[in-house]
Amino acid sequence: MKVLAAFGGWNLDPGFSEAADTGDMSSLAARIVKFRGDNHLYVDQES
Amino acid sequence: MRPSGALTISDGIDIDWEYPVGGGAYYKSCSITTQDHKLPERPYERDALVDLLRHVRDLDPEAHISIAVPARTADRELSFPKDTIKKMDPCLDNWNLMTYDMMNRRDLTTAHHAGSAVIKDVVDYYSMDGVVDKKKM
Repeated sequence: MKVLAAFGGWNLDPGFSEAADTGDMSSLAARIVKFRGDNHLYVDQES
Repeated sequence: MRPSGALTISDGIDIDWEYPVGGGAYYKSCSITTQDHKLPERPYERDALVDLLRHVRDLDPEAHISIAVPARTADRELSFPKDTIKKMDPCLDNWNLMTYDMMNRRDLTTAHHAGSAVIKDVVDYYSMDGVVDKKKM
């Protein structure tokens, strides 16, 4: 069984569309990889 | 996002963008899709998603990378057309098919929300008749 760090969902969008508007997805990718590497659970600010 | 304080060890990353092109906040605010009220499509988000997956794969080559994709016909065809699926697949270890929400607030008639009768159709769509390995689903 794999344990995956999930990014997104109906109410946990990490900023996909905002990143797409900039035309550069590399920064968001770096954030996602860093969060996984930190071995922390992350939650949305509103949760 | 902020850290919850809980530590976890993950094998990889699951990307769950709901949904490129016609989803997100607008999906929640626009309850019905009709001829008079069409979605403001953002087609560049398809390539943005592929770009994101490629960057994640490059930055974290050992990670198990998966994606959650919709089952509802209109959502999958808008967000994940076949040429996009082909570009995404080399970056992914598996596809998580959300075999629910097969009808929702945008449908004008009721239908099954989930069910095995329509899952084959969803799997066939994403596997593109064998182009994408069904074992990854």
